[in-house]
Amino acid sequence: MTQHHDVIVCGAGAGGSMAAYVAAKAGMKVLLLEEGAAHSTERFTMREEQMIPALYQQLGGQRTRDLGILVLSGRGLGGSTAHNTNLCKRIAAPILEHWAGELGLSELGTEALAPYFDKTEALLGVRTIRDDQVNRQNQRLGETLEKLSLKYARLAHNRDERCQGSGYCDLGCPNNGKLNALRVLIPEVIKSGGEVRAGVDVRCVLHRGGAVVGVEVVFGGERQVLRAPKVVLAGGAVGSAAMALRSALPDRYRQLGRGLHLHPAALVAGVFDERIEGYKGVPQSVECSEWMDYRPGAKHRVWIVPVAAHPASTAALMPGFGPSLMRDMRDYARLMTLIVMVHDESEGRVKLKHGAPVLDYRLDAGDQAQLAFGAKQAARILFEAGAKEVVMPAAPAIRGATMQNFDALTPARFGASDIKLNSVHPLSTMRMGLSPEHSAIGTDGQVHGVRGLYVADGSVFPTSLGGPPQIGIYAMAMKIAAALS
Amino acid sequence: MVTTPDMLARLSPIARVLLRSEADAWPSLEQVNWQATMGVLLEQMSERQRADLNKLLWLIEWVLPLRGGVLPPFSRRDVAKQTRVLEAMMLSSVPQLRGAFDSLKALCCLAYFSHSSTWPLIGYEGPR
Repeated sequence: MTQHHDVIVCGAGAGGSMAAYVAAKAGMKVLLLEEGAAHSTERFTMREEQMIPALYQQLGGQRTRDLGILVLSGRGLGGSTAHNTNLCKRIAAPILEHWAGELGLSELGTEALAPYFDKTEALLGVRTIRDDQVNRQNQRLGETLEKLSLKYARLAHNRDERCQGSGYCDLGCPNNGKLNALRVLIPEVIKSGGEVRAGVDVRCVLHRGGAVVGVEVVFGGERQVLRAPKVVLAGGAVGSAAMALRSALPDRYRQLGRGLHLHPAALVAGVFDERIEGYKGVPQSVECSEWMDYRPGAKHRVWIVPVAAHPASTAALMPGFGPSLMRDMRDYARLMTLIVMVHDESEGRVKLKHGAPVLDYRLDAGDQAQLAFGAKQAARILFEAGAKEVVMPAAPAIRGATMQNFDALTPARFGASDIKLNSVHPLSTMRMGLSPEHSAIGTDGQVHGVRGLYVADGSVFPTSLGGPPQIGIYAMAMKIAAALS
Repeated sequence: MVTTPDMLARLSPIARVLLRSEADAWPSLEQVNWQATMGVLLEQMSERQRADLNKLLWLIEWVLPLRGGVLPPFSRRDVAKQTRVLEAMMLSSVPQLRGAFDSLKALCCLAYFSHSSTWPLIGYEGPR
């Protein structure tokens, strides 16, 4: 690695790749570092046992400290954009209004961010999914929501004509159909003279006299110091907080790592007589937004979308083991699965244990109630769609051929974590704000008290987003990188 | 440091219970090359992950079976008793034990259901 750069970006997911792209296009000498591997389409084998360890942190086994919530986040060039399902939703207007209004962050208002969303969507070819791309599971959901007069919409994605609807988005697209960080941004960083290095573990940020001077990394088993006047942390809500906490940054008000949101989710699966094959085609193209109100303290904060997984991941999520699990797996192709996600007001924290991140997060009573409400609605939708049985992963399993067991669901069961919860959207651990008393970074993305140290990823959001964050992350990173460039 | 073969020796009896079926149609762990696949997965774990997993395997082998107050350890019990040990873990009132069970099950499933010989039984065509 060469030693002289204008900016070092630590993490090559949506935020880091966009920051590197903007800086490189502005003529800065950029070094983009990534802890995981250098992925490419040729290496996306569609095999779970190969791709899950390659694309997900901790072999897909990262969990909260009490082990109650499975938290999936990406690793390798492209970060989570290499394995996500390409959902593109702008940050909802009520959230931006809350940030600009109550939180006083006028630079994050709807109008202020609109140009960044516009540019991001154009760059990544965001468009609404076509009729012929809607798979059977999503079609059935849309028809059912229509029948029930529930609010629903077709989703937008960043994929192009190379997408063959293989259904392997979660294991890395074998057809290179994703217009993501890996395909669009990182090649442009290189073309613009930037340097990209995978397999580099950033241990800490080096700073002196209130200004950043570089980073310390482990590369090929050796410690090295890389110097630059500007450093961008972009390791995601877990990775960036961990890098910051390892760096002895000024943090009088203990804001680093604070504010973790997980967008926690519960699965509800229906068993049908006919094949649904949710694992074929574009996995998520229809959303149910009937109970999604983004305003703080709203009565309902629940977002429901279909979800599909390949066999090993499905088996891991189904309840029980032994003969009962094997019987359930016989129904694999006949499953229609919905995921209920809560726009969480619970806040956790990323801490360090022996230098490694620990995710301290517990659902508050309000979010438990939202999950219980959402799970009942999902079960109702599945029965209406024709499911002969509905199952929720829990210990013991919750299942039934009628609504009886689901109507009896109590919020406390979600708090006790006997119902299996997942998260794919960890956010907000390096929150943006006006003062160091209440935030880790300023509205320009710069860490309070350390000149030249920026954050540009999902950790910067002041609150949960209540929806898929990738477009928000790309757009916010574009804004932050434009300022630092 | 605990070696991969040592860990496989502890994991295999657990996987046999987790992936046990009453129907003969399901392939055995040997038929899906479960140990080889699991060996590769273990080698990809960080030191910390391996240490955590090893602690868990030790707990299952020696501590959890003692709840009835008697030896032998997990690997030398019959399937019915092994099933009870894992059931107790899955339904434990301690969230960490339930979460650890889920992690272990996910790992065992990854090395089993990723083998193509399991796919015809679940109607999955596999990568095309």
